[in-house]
Amino acid sequence: MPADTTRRGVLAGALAAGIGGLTLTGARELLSQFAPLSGRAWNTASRSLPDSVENPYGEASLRVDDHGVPHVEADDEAAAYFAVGYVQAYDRLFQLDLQRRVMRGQLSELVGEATLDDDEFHVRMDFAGAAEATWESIAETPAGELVEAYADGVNTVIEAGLLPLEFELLDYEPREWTPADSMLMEKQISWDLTGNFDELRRALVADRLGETVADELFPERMDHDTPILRDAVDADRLETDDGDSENDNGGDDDSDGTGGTNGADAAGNVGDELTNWLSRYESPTGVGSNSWVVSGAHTESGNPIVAYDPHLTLMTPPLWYEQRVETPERSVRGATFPGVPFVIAGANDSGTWSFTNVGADVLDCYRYEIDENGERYRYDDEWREFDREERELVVADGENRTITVRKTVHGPVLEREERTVGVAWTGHTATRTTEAIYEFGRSDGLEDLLEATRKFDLPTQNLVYADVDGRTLYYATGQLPIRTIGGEEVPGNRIFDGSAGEGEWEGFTPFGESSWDGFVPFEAKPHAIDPDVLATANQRVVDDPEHYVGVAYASPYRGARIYDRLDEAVENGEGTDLEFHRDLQSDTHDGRADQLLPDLFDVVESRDVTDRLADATATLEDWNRRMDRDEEGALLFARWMEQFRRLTVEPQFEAGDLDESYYPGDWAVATLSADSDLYADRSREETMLEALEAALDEIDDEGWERYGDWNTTKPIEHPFGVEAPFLDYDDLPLDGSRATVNNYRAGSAVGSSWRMVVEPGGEATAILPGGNSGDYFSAHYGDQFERWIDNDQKPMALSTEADVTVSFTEGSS
Amino acid sequence: MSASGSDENGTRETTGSEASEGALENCGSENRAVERRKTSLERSRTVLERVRTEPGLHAVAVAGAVVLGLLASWLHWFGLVLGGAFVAFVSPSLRRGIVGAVGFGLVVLVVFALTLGGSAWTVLEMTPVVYLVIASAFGLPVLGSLLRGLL
Repeated sequence: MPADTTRRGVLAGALAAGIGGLTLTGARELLSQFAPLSGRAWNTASRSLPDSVENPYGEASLRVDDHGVPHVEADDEAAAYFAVGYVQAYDRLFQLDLQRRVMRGQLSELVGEATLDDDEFHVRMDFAGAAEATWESIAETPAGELVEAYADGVNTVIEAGLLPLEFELLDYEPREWTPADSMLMEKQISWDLTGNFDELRRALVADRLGETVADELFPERMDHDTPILRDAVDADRLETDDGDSENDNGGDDDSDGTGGTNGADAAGNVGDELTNWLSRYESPTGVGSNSWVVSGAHTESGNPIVAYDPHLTLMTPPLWYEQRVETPERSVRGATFPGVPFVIAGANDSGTWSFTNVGADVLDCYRYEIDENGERYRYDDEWREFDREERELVVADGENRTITVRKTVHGPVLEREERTVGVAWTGHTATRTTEAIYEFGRSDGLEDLLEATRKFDLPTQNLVYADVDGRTLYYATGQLPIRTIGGEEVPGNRIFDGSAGEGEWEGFTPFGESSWDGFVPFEAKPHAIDPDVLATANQRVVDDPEHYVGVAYASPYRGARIYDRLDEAVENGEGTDLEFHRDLQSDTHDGRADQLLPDLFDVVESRDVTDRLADATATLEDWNRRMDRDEEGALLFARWMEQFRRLTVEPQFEAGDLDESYYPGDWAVATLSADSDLYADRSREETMLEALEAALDEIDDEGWERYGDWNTTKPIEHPFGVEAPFLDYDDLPLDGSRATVNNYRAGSAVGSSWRMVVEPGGEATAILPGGNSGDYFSAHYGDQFERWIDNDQKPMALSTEADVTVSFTEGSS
Repeated sequence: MSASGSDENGTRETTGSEASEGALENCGSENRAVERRKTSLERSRTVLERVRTEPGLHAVAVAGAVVLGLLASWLHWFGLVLGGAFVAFVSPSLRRGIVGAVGFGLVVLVVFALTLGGSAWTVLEMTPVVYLVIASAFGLPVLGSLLRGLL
């Protein structure tokens, strides 16, 4: 009996402890999410599109093809864009909401104090205010009506509770989607492409290391001869207002960005705390793209071909979303950003268009004379109060924070450690880009497209276009500011004295509607009409522009390689086809190896080196200089390059308290003279050998054998990939480096975020780095991922054989 | 004061013998109730014993326990604990109850996979979540089955 009592006591205790442990600890929440049958997460596993949805704008049909691409057809555009909103929300609602939260500074409301700094930046920059101003300006336009229909479609999904897994995991529901939220998406991508504080960063480097080193490592003009508009580009130009029509790409030498920058003084005013903070929100390192066009004279079919791959952040699900919309006016297919109703880069039955980043300078920083209390700033010979607004940052599981957002006549004011800088950015005003991309989709030929391009205020992009009539086009889009000091035009890569009214943008109204009167006229912006062969890879647009464009251009490795291969094809007289251009997109030849390896080989040959270094050198000599996943030489070169860059700059940068984020680009290091002060303590030759030793040590320590052991897709993460790793795509080896046409940066997860090759009116192909659906349980969550790795593109046709998935019937949803 | 009669308010007082009789009656009825309860308990025990030991009845009881357990599990994760307890309750021994709870967990997983349809394979790839799914499908019913050791 006592034994039985003891046994019962033990069992009762175990039962009580088990139940108590489950209900009183974090296990309860985990079980609420994932317990079989009842877990909230499983609600989304059985989610499916309904057969029928009421559409207040009229009838429409939605077909989803074998690759998860939605095809929307309707007689009425508003009915079509309601369906677009519906299907985008069904596929990518969490992405929409997350992006909106980032830009509105509402992340901490979800994830707590960890993101308070991020929220503070976005609230102080008031991107939401700029989006509201933009919406007010386009609400009454034809595009505005469609944006509203799109928002209604998104909200129909929210109201129906068709939420994807992430909402169940985080246990919250999204707020209503507004048209201004769609404008916010335009601001987001524009910020990602043009938001940089290079002048602050360069000023800090100059302050710490001296102007000479800053000039060497961050040259205003890289020494190469393959700008986009190179001499060999034979094209027409639009007439300027004064009647001139120029056929060259000449410009004013005085306005090419070579002016002085007063860096040290500026650094003293801005400080490293503020610069470091702002640097966290700049364009991700390596953001860029490739696009090129060849006229029908150089294709097998006789029609022009455009190839395009934008290098943006690679993530799960992809940044881009593919869709097709067919209305009586036009059938348009291509990629857009979730949250944006219209195809951004793609093709219609008349033409095809693509965008790469210009690297233009459309953000200026101003310093001010501020009174002792920090409440007024000097401007126009008087003291002015800052515009102030109290904003509360909501913090999950923490104390809310209230901040005061301040603005000057130029735009928002950013502050850190009592350092202050005013910011003017072309995105901080009403912009008409939404109208432009809507009109791109409806365009019928080059003239239509040019008219639409006039409204493309933001961001500054290299537009490459071709159409069924055989026309081709290059145009630098976006508003380019003209700055003056004392009536003299000056470049913008400096910190201006805002109190003295230096470098102001005439015709610019922050958070209002701008006239753009004082900006570079449309006709004066870099462009080429009917170019024969033209390639853009974020390299310098033109050697001598008529007006200052910017200095944040990419190294010319990709641009030079693309031009080399296109030139070779033209010289051979072989007509190119789509396969040729897809092959060029996959090109992995690394120009850095051509630049640096001969010097390394010379050093090794001239010295008595260890067998280990001699073997490594032999591997590099046998290597074909392609950054392919199976190549040992590619691994050795990639790691050697990294070590060479580090060893070149680290001693002085460390002494100057500048971390890796301030390191210069590969081109600057590769072309740095052996006489540079950076090689004063350790010669360039010794640095090369030490880098080889360091690379071999690293490779041995890590156990890497081939390039693909290091160069993998691991960095391509879902925003909650750490907490829920199953949301990430597989970790696979891949080709390409940051300097190759097939572009991939393992360090920052930037690379080809969309690839397409289009012959207007003919065949078209495309591929996404992942899948079109953001629904983890969808068959299209990652179905394109492995094909993307091999650049095995799928068709991008303007029709589909798929059955109707959803019928949108007229009625109030 | 008399032992028997009426007070001013006409309320009848109880005599000692009547009180004893009443007490006896009460005692008798309580005894009867206790007896009834005992009988009922014995009967229940008998039924439970039969349910636990007679194969036909046992099968029906297990099926009922599984269905109830599934319904409860559908509504809340604690239903998995209850499901295990139900199945174990009709088992002949604690050991058999634990085995039954494991079996219930297996049924839960099969039903779960069926409800997921095409997404079942995807769920299998959801590491480490899938470990939690499997652990809770077996662990919680086994926890509930410990109740069998008390009843």
